[in-house]
Amino acid sequence: MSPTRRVSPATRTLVAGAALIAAAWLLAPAPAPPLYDGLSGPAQAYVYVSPPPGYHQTQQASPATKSLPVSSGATQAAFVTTDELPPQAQVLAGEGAFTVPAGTTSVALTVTPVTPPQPLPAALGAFDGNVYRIEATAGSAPVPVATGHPITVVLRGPATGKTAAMVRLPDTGTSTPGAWESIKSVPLGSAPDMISANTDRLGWFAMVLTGTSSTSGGSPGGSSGPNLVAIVVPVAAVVLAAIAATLLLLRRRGSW
Amino acid sequence: MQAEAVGAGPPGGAATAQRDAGIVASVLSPAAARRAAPLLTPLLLLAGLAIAVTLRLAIGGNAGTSSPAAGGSFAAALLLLAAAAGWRPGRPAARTAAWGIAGATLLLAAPVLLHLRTTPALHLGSPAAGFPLWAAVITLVAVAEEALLRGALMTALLRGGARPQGAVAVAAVAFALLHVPLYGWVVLPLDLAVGVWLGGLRLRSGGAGAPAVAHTLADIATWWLR
Repeated sequence: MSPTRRVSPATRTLVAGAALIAAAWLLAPAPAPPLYDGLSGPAQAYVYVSPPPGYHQTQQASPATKSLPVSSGATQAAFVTTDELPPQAQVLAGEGAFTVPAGTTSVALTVTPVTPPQPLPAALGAFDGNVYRIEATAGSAPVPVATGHPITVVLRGPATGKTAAMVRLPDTGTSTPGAWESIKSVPLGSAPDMISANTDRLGWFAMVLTGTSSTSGGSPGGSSGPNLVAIVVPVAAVVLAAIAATLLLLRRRGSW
Repeated sequence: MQAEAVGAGPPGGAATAQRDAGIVASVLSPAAARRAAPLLTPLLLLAGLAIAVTLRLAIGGNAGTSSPAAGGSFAAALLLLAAAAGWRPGRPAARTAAWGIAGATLLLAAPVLLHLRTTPALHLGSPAAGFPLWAAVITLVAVAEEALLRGALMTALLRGGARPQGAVAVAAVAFALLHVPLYGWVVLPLDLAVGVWLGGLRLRSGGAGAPAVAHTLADIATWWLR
């Protein structure tokens, strides 16, 4: 037998790290971003369909549309985003997300910022940004979301710092829309004022403020952020200084 | 940056442990102090890291990771801790840069392939005018994280007698956990793996410079990959 080659700890660690990274990407791809870490950049100021009094904006909220080819009766996966940075509305549809009539060759998926087609009941909160109409059409005929293939809607709000949720006004396919209803939504971790929701129906979607602060302890409609900062920051700074002083003490008493 | 020499443990490790034991002995029994001393500096660094993360969250508030002030404060706290623990940047070296670029290449391989081959993921991008500030803060944060984790913390662990793989593992776990409050548990597996890779770069290159270069380049690339 030949003598065993000794592999250094550094080489073993690098090989292990590369293998783990490959496994992590294969088994559980991370969302975009973070890649590994990062810092979100400043968001573009919110663009309203109807700006509130005193709000200055130089552009219009953008619509977005995408044509989804139909292959073997199933629409292709699609990702539709409006033009703002980050987009104010995004729709992700998986393969076969829409039920299409036989012979359909493509489906148009459209996201349009609109004025609210009907008022929002006070019990659901207040609109936080624009209402977006999300439609899928084959020719001029609407097509519904396929059963078991919900689409994902992501909306960005005007960064109020308050707790937001998503509401939906389902498109009934008639001249009379349904009623506004709350749908289950989740915040997107590293992106403030962006929430995501899955929906099995198209129609009108909007973010709403539920009247509570996103930081605990605040009064309804307000933010306790400054108070939290005023307490935590000085305490953290003192503790950090104490730790740093202890480290210095350890080092100066020794030979490092 | 080419910093600390790394190996199974520097010659001064035993003396350092004796000195730490003396300090700890004031509150512990001598035997307990001897056992606890090698852990003291790493534990202080980890505690400081937790405080720095708390500081970042408090300052960032609802702005999350988009707050340059929060990122800058976090980086400053980490650099303070690393400096207090004795970490110093080494001289720039071609070998360090080469290992850093190689490290970044591996980190970016999968994201670039996914970006080219798949439907784009959610867009969380930013206006181009924000790039210089964003790049500056992200570089500061990445370098500070490496200074603390692959610099001061790994050095302290190795000097305390930890095996290289053990030091890498501790730094990798800390690296992964520090990102959870910012991005959610979803990042844990990947950041853990990346922590091991960056630790390997540290062992191979002999300092925190190479992982700092790799980390910074990988983070900067997110501007184009999101």
